[in-house]
Amino acid sequence: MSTPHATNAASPTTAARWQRYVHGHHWRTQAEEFDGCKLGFWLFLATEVLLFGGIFCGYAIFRVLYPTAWAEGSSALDWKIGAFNTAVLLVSSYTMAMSIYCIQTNKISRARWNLAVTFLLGLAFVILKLALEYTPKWSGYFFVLDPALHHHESMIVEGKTAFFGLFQFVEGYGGKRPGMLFTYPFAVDPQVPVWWAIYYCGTAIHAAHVLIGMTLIARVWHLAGKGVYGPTYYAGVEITGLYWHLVDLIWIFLFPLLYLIH
Amino acid sequence: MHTPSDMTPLFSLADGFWTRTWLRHPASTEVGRETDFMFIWLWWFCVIWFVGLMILMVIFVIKYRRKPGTIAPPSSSHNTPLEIVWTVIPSLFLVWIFFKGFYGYIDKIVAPGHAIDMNLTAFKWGWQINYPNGSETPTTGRVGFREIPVFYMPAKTPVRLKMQSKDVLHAFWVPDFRIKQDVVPNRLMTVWFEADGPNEKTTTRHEVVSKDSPEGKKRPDLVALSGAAYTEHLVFCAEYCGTEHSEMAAFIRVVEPSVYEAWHTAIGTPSDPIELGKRLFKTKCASCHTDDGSSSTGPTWKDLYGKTETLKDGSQVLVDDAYILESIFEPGAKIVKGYEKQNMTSFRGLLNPSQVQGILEYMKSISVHAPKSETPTQ
Amino acid sequence: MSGYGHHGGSYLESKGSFWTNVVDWATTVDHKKIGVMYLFAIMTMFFFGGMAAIAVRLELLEPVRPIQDAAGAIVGVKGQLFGSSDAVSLEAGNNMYNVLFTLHGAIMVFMVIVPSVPASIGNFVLPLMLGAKDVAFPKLNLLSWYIYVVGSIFAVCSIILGGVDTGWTFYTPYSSSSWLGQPKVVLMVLAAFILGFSSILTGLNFVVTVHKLRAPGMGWFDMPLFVWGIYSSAIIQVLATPVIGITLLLLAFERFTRIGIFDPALGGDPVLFQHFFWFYSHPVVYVMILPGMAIISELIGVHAHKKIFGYKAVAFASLGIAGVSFIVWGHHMFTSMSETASMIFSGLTFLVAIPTAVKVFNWIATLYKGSISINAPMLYALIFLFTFSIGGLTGLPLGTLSTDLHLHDTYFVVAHFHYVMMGGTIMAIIGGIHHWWPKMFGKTYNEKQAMIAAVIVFIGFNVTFFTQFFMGTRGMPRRYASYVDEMQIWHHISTGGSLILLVGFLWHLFVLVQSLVAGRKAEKNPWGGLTLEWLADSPPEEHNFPHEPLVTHGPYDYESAVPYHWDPKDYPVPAENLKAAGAH
Ligand code: HEA
Ligand code: HEA
Ligand code: HEC
Ligand code: CUA
Ligand SMILES: [Cu+2]
Repeated sequence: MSTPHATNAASPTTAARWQRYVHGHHWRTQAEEFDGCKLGFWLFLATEVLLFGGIFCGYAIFRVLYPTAWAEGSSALDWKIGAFNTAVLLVSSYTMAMSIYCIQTNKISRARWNLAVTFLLGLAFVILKLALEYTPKWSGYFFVLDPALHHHESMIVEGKTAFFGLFQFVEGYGGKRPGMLFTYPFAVDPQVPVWWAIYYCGTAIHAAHVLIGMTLIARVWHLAGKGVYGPTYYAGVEITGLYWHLVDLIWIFLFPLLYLIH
Repeated sequence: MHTPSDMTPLFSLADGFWTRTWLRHPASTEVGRETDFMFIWLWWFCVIWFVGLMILMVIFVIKYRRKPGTIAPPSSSHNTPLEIVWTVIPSLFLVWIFFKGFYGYIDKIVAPGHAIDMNLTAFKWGWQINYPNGSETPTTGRVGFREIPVFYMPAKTPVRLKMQSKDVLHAFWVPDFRIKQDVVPNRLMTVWFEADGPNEKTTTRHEVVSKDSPEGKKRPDLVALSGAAYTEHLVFCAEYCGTEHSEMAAFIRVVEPSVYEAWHTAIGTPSDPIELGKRLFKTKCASCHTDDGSSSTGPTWKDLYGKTETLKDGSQVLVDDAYILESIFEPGAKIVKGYEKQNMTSFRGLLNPSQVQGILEYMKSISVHAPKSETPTQ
Repeated sequence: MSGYGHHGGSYLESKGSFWTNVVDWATTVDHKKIGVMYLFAIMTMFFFGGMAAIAVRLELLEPVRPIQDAAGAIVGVKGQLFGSSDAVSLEAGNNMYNVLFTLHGAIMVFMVIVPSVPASIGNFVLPLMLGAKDVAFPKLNLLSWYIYVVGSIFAVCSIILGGVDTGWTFYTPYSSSSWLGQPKVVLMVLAAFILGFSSILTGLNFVVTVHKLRAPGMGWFDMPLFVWGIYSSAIIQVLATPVIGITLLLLAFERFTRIGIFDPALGGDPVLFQHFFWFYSHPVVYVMILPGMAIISELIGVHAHKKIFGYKAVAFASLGIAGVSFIVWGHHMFTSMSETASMIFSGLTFLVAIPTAVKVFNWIATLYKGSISINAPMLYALIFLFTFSIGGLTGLPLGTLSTDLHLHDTYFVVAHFHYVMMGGTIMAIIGGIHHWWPKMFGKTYNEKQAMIAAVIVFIGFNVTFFTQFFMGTRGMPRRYASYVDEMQIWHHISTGGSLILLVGFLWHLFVLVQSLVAGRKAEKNPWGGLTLEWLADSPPEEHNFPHEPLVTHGPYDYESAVPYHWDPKDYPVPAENLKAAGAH
């Protein structure tokens, strides 16, 4: 990765916006400003890691306290959905990295395409999460394409559908919504609600981060369209990328902990 | 265990003026006196460092205050040997303090094997002990607004309390014993103590109650205590638990083991259920209910039994055994009109059947609506 | 490289009409203005927190007792400042008391003392000391201020809705089940969460500023100790605050959705909450004290006109305290943890006392053979040494396991933390305000009056809080609306002291307001300091310095350097220094 040049040679009238960029008056050089921004953002990422650290800590402690509840809870999750979502995020990380590379090499429109794909993959992640994971658990309504649905074929209630027939009701599956202790009718271990508490908090806070990341991506997509970023100035894209990779990384930890280890 | 006799010369330091100033009087348990020693030791440690440093500071400030027109003499701005010395010396002291404190702590935490076990329940806002024979103390004392229980404890005998909380965090603290332990819901916490016997300095004596007096006939426990000496200690709740956190107290009265034995036997379920009910009323229910018709947090029990009560949704219900049982065990099920804002805590698991019977009998005995003929006469 | 050369006016200069100025301040990214805005916001909150404290003290004048009629029936309550007079129950008064001390603790911790030094004085002075034009991220800095305000508004809303009665520690399960309905606790918890955000952003900003924006020639060990202190505490702010963030977030989740994480009735674990809470809240006490100590290093260095004894030891002690602070949180939980855990945490607690002791020794050694001028800032430095030492030393019996079992959750703890927080940080910040006042506002204050006020505060403070040590050891639990009669005498003295304190602070307020209104113009370097802020104008111009400053001497090299804007009348300087230093 090349460091941006300290000065911009192009003439003020014909140059693109990124060529005319003037660094903040309190920095000595643009390179120093870029370094400072990155240092600051890495610190911010450290705080994000610590934020999730709290959840991982809770996970670990309760796992030791209530091993059977953990086994029971995690076996109620479908690893296939989780794995698919993992793949979605991994690809999006790749496109994110590509977009930075493209900006550095002054291929702005390709960079924007990459950003757009990243955004859509993020959106796909959130929609999959809602439709395939949260909805059935809350209400008993399964998305018709949900791979988990065939486990419950015998319990599908004919004719009880929602959302133009896209969702089908499975008798006795839907745990109650948050607010009623998550007492699943099929729960055996009395401590299982604690598992669900950790599951929901972890994934919901992660999903919130995905949404924030998407907002940032939309922003740089828009700014890139106005010619703000280019080979000598791309701090915004770089930082958005760092954030997106972090969001990805956290999911890489959540996925095996929640879906794979029983 | 380090007993104070190991360190008599030092300990005499702790039994004097400063103990009385800081701690009111020496602790009433052996392990507590170890704590006193530690505390007073630390007090002197702090005083010496503090006074030493302050004297230096004041001397420097006076001696080296700025004098117009003169220049401060050059002086060194660091000195490695000195800096090492003043890092190492306090460290050594701190190591000693740590170990001493840790041993004292272990003595306070680990109960001897032969300790008597009792169950203690903490709830908003009170304490209840179930003695080894399952009974509760029939005696209450008063602090401010509160009728608080009086727990009798044998002297010179280790007692271990197995503590449970019904609702939120509480902490069991007996300042005179220097022990404190949080009571955490869903966990069994324990605390133990071995109190000194009543001695001349701290003793009060119980009234003499003869077995044949009317009072004595009803209260065998008072007969057992008749004329016996006791030392009284306050119990506080030391973990914030809401509105009446500061009212959540109890008394511990330490009596000679023989007196305790007699008392313990005497509180075995009283023969008269009405008496039992009245006693339970006083220790458990009187904080919210009255038996004389005056108003309080909950409805009065006077003339309650047999009356028709209006609930908050306007429906009517007859106050009979079943309704009262429900009110005791599931207070939220039917809320009396006018008491929507108050909550009664459930007593599920805290009353045994004969105690419930006692409460019912007592309610009947103070109600004009109750069918009198049913009262057992033999 | 732009910005120097044109001589801007003072940063306080009016920009035009009243509204132009309001907009200018509200949208400013100048660290000096933001620092001043913080100073006012924080002092306002300090005033409210102090008033709540006075209310707490007044309520405690008398134990709550029933009033009985001739027949012995209870007809009323006495000793309740806020209960309704005809109530026969304790509820109203006790709840009011519980709300008050929660309010007091939460305001003082989250809205006053955590942001206090870094966000106000730190914001103003730190870039100046580094010779920088601003902090690394000026817009973020303004954002922090707004986040602080939003957080405070959340807190105020929860108060308007009736207040929160959980104590500043929000222990579960009480906080997830208290009598006060959900919204208020959640609001208060979110307020603390938002304020945490502000704190993280400020800390992050300072770390980058220190790393990247030091003036040419300023190596790490040429930084003033103030910068070291702020830097260390900024690291704690960044690394500890997210943990309280997630904790409070989970608590809010728990309250909203009744999922079980901390509430045992729902299967959760209340002790886990305590671990999480103190994992943040212990380090945060050093976020409070390190900047206080940072100020003290400056005050002592400058007013004793002497190089700080053992500069490196003090700098590393700051970092050491920051490091160790992360592993001692368990000492708040000796009564609810296992023996092993208690043992480990007790041992580690003593570890943290050592770097602190080193600092105190160094400060006192600095006075030796100095040229000490006694004025309000120096007086506060000495008061700090006095009160903070008491506060810190009383931390020892708390860290000692056997004694903590007696002292935990008593007024001994209350006295301990007021001695360190009020006697430490608040004394330091008031000293700092006086020290940098001429620089901030370009006005001198009345030295004699300020010193009188300092003495009143000192007396009031000790009367209020020293008595509380005795109360605690003699058996007075904290967070009690009422107490046994024999404690009353102590409470009387303590309340009396708090009123003296009130007088002292109002006196200060008066002195400072008077300075703003009628003070003389201040010199550029009234104390003869060697750090870079004294090179700037009083008040500094908009971009701080007319030229990029070049650092040629250490921050306390009084033996070889000449103070900026030197006036031989004020600070005699050895002749060879003048020769050696030449320039200024
Ligand atoms: C500014 C904030 C601040 C600071 C700096 C400290 C500093 C210390 N604190 Fe304090 N503390 C609090 C704020 C602070 N504390 C608060 C707010 C609480 C209560 C929270 C609540 O429950 O609401 C608390 C509670 C608290 C407890 C829990 C008490 C309990 O609830 O049971 C403990 C226990 O170990 C403790 C210990 C210490 C120690 C050992 C230090 C050490 O760092 C002190 C080191 C300082 C010195 C030692 C003095 C200076 C040195 C000398 C004069 C030289 C001579 C010294 C030696 C030879 C050792 N503190
Ligand atoms: C920074 C922290 C801080 C500060 C400064 C104070 C200051 C004071 N505190 Fe504070 N206190 C806490 C933090 C603090 N407290 C905390 C964390 C708790 C625990 C809460 C809990 O248990 O949850 C507590 C609890 C607490 C209790 C125990 C309550 C209980 O447990 O029941 C008491 C009782 O006396 C008390 C009293 C006081 C008093 C009298 C002051 C006085 O010093 C206040 C004096 C201040 C004023 C009177 C304001 C005047 C100001 C002005 C006029 C503006 C001046 C402006 C300039 C100088 C520029 N406090
Ligand atoms: C914390 C306060 C409190 C305590 C302690 C308490 N109660 Fe109550 N009680 C109430 C309140 C408030 C009500 C009215 C609301 C309701 O019906 O639940 C009530 C109602 C009742 C009723 C129904 C009264 C009626 O008018 O219909 C009965 C019976 C009762 N309690 C029995 C008991 C017994 C027995 C005990 C002790 C073992 C006890 N209570 C202890 C607060 C309390
Ligand atoms: Cu129970 Cu406080
Ligand atoms: Cu601590």
